[in-house]
Amino acid sequence: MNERLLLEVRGLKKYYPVRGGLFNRRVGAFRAVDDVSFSVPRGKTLGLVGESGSGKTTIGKCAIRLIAPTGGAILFDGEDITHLNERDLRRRRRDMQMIYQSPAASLNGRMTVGEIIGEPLWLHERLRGAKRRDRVIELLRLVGLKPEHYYRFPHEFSGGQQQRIGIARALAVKPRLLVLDEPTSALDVSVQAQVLNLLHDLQQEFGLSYLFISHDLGVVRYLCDQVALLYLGKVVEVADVETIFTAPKHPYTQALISAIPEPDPEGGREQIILKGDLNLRAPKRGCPFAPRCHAAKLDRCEADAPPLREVERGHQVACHLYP
Amino acid sequence: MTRMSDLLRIENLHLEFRTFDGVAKVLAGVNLTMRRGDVLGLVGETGCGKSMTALAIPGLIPMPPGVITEGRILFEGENLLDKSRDEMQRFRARKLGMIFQDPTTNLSPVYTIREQLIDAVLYQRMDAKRVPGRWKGWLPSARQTRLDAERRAVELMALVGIPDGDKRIAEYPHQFSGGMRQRVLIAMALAGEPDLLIADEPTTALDVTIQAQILRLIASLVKQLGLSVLLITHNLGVVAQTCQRVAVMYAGRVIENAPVRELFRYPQHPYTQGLLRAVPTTRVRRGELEGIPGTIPNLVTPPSGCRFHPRCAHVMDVCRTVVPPGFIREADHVIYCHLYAETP
Amino acid sequence: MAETVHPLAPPRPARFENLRRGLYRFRRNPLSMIGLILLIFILIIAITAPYIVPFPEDAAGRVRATARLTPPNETFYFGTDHVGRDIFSRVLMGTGLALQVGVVIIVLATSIGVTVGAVAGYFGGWVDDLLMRITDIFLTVPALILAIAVTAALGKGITNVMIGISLVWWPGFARLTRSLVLSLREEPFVEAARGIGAGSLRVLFRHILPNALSPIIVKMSTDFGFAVLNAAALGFIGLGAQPPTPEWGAMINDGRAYFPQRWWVATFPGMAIFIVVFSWNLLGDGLRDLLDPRARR
Repeated sequence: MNERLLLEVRGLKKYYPVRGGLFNRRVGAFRAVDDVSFSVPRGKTLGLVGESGSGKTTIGKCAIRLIAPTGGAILFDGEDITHLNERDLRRRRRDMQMIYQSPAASLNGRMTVGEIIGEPLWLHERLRGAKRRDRVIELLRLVGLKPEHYYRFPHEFSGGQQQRIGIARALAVKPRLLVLDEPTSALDVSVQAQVLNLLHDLQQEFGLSYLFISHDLGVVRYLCDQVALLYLGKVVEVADVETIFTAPKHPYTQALISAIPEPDPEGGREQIILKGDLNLRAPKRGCPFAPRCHAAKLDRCEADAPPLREVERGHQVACHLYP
Repeated sequence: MTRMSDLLRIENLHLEFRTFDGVAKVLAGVNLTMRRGDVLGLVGETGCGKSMTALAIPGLIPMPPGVITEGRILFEGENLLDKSRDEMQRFRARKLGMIFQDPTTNLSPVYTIREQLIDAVLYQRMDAKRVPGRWKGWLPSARQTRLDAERRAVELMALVGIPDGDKRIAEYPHQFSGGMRQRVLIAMALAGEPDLLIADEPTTALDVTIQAQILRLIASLVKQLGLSVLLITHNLGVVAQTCQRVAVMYAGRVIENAPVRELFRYPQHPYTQGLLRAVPTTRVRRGELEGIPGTIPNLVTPPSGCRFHPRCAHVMDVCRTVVPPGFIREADHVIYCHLYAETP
Repeated sequence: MAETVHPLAPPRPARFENLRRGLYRFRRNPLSMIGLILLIFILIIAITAPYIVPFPEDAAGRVRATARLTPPNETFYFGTDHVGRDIFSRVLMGTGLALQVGVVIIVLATSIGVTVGAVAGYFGGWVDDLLMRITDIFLTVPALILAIAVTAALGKGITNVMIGISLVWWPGFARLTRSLVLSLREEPFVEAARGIGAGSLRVLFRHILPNALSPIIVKMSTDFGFAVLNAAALGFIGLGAQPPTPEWGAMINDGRAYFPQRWWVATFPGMAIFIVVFSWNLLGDGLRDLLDPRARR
C-alpha cells in the first residue's frame, strides 16, 4: 500500500450482459470497462479523459461503489472497499462524494435548497434544527451562494448556481475524495470558469483529492495534475498533465489533442482527422484503436492488444509503437 | 441601402415571447449581414438569442407565444417577414438548408434512410403536394420519380462522405453512428441545393474527433458548392477554426461583429474579451482563467441601456441609459459599446 | 426533521409561486374550471342536503301511497317513485353517500396500489415479478365481474361494495406507480441521494415518491368518478346499500320497471351519476395541466 495514494483502482472490470435470442438469454457481455487501473494521489487531481463510450463515467461510479464492479479491487485510503456491505458502505460514503454532469437533474426538485444540503448532515451527523441550518448557511457561503437561497427550490437557479448547490451538498459531509463527472459540460463558458475556479479553490482550502471525468481537454489541462486517457473501456495512456499536452505518445492521444478546435484562428496546428467512428463492438483481438489508427501499422496491432507499459518515468502507454 | 452582394440582411429585429412571467424581450434589435459565400459564426451563451435569430430566418418561431414586433429579414433583397405561408414553404425548400444539434431526434427511427432522403429530395424539388407517396410506387410515373430521387439521394450521400451509400441507404438511423447521422442530415439539408445553410450547434452533441470530421466536411462543401453558412455555436474554438466572420451575441443583441482573425486578435467589447479569457484551452494553465462575474440577465426585465452593463468592468453612466449604437473600428469590425464612441 | 425559520431567510416564496403558476394555467382551461365549480356545488349539496330538501324523511323510507309515480311538478321537482317518495329529495340525499363511497374506494385503492407498485418498481428482481404477477391475476378477470363476485361473497351492503371495488381497483395504481418509480429510479438525483448515504426507504419515500405524486393525483381524480359509477352499478344489481337508503344505483333499479313511460324514476339518479363522473374527469384534466412538471417554468 502506498501512503501517497488516496484511491487505488486495480484491474477494474464492469461487464453488462448482452441479451438476445429466445427467452432473453444472456448471449454475451459488453465490456464497458475492461481491466482499468489508476490511482488518485492525496490532494491531487487525476483526469479521466475519453469520448462517449470510453466508459469514463462507469469507472467513476464504480470507484466510489455507486455501481458494483464486475471485477477488480478498489482501495480507499488503504482499505479494500470492493466488497463492503451496504451498511458499512453507507458510512463510508461521507469520504467519497460525486458531482454530476447535469446539475438540474441531480437535485430533487421537490426539496428546498436547505433540505437538499441539510440531508447529508442529518444522515451522517444527525444534525437538525438550528445547528443544521447554520451549517447549511455556512456551506452556501462557502460555494458562493447567499443565505436567502435557503428556502428556494432548485428550478429557480441558473445552471451554474445549481452546480454550486450540488457542490455544497457534496462538501457537507467533509469528504476527502470528490468524483467530478463532467461538472461543467452543461454550463456556459463564463460560468464554467467560475465553477472551475471554485473547485480549484476548494481543493486548495480542504486538501481534497479529485477524480475528474471529462471529454474536454481544455478543462482537463486547467484542473488536473495527472491524466489517464481511455479508449473503449481501456486506459491507453497515463502521464502528468504537462507531458500529455506537450509530448503525447499514443496515436489516439495525439489525434484527440489535435482535434480540439482552439479559439485562435492563426494557431494553425496540423489536425489529425481520424478515420471512421467509434465502434462500440471493438475488434475481438488486437488493439481496440487499430481500426482508426493513423500511425504506421504493425502486424501485431491487429493480432494482440498492447499492455499498458511504463515507457518513461511516470508515463505509461499502451501501444506497440513503444515497446 | 441593400447591396446586391448581400445574401441575407437582418435589420433591427425585435422578437418577444409573451409568457406568464411577462413579456420576454428575446431579441432586441439584431443586425446581421451575410454575403454570398460567407461562413458567419453566431456565438453566444445560453439565452443570448442566437438560435432564435436562426429560427426567425426560415419563419420557424412558434407564434404565439412569439411575436416579431419590429425589423426586417431581407433575403436577396426580399423581406421574408412579408411572405405568405406558402411562399415561405417554397423558400425553405429551395433556398435554405438547416441542420440541428441532435442528429438522433431529427431522424425518424421507423423509416429507412432511403425513405427519409427521398422525401427530402422530392419535397425540395417540387411542390409538396405532388410528392407521390410510398404506396403509389407501383404507378409507372411515380416509380420513375422515386428512382430518380433515389439516385440523387445516393449522390448526396457520397457528397457528405458516407461510404457505400448505395448499400447503407437501406439501413435505419439506429444503424448509423452519431457522426454519420449528422452527415445524413446534412445530405437532407443539401437536397434542394440551397444558397444558405443554417447550422445550429451541429457538432455540440458529437465527440471531438467526430466534430473535427464534420467541420472539415462543412468547410469542403462551402468550397465545392459555393454555400453560405450561418454557423450557430457556443464554442469559440469551432468558430475560430471554421468561420470567416463572427457575430457575438449577448442577451438578444449582436454586440460585436468582425472578421474572425480580427476578433480573436483584437477583441474590443468587454464581453467578448471576458468570454475569450474564460475559455480553458490546452494552452491555459491553472489560475489563468477568469469567469465573467454575475449571471445572464432575465429577459423579462432586462437591464436598461447596454444589457451587459451590470456585469461590465468599464461601465459608464451612459451605458445605463442609452443602447450603444454600432461603432466601426477598422474595416468591417463593428462594436456596440460606448467605450468606442469617441475613439477615432 | 422539522424546519424552523431562520432570521436571515425570507419566508418560502417558492411554494406559493408554484401554486400561483399552476392556478394561472388551471384558470386558462375553462373546462377544468367548470369541473371544479360543479364539484364544489356537489360538495355543498352533499353537506346541506338534509336541511334544504323538501322531504328529508323520504330518504328514510316514508311511503306516500296517494302520490305514487307522480310526474315532476311544483311539489315534487323530479316526480315520485313507486312508493310515492320524492325523487328530488332522495337524489340530493344520496350525494353524500356517493362521495363517501368514492373517497373510501380511491383512498383504499391508492394505498394498496402505490405501496405495491413502489416496492415492485424500486426493488425489482423477484419482488417485482411476484407482485406484478399478482397484479396481473387481478387484471385478467373483468373488474366489474370480480367486484360483483367479491361483494357477493362478502355479503350485501355498502361497506362490502367499497371493499369489493377497492380490491379490483388497486392494480391500475400499482402499474402506474411502478412505471413512474422505474423511470425515476434512474434519475441522477436518486443516485445522488444514494451517494450521500441515504437508505432504500428514505430514497423511496423522500426522493422518488414525491416526484411521482402528480400523475397519481391526476389518476385519483379521474378514477373517482368511475369508482362512483361502479358502486352505482353494484347498487343497481342489488348488492349495495339496502332499501330504503337513497343510493343512486338502487334508485335506477327501482325505476327500471317503469321505463320509459315513467322515465323520471330512473333518469334523475342517472343524471346525478353522470354529473359526478363528468366533473371529476374535467377536474382530472385540469390537474394534469396544473401538476405537470414539464409545463412548469
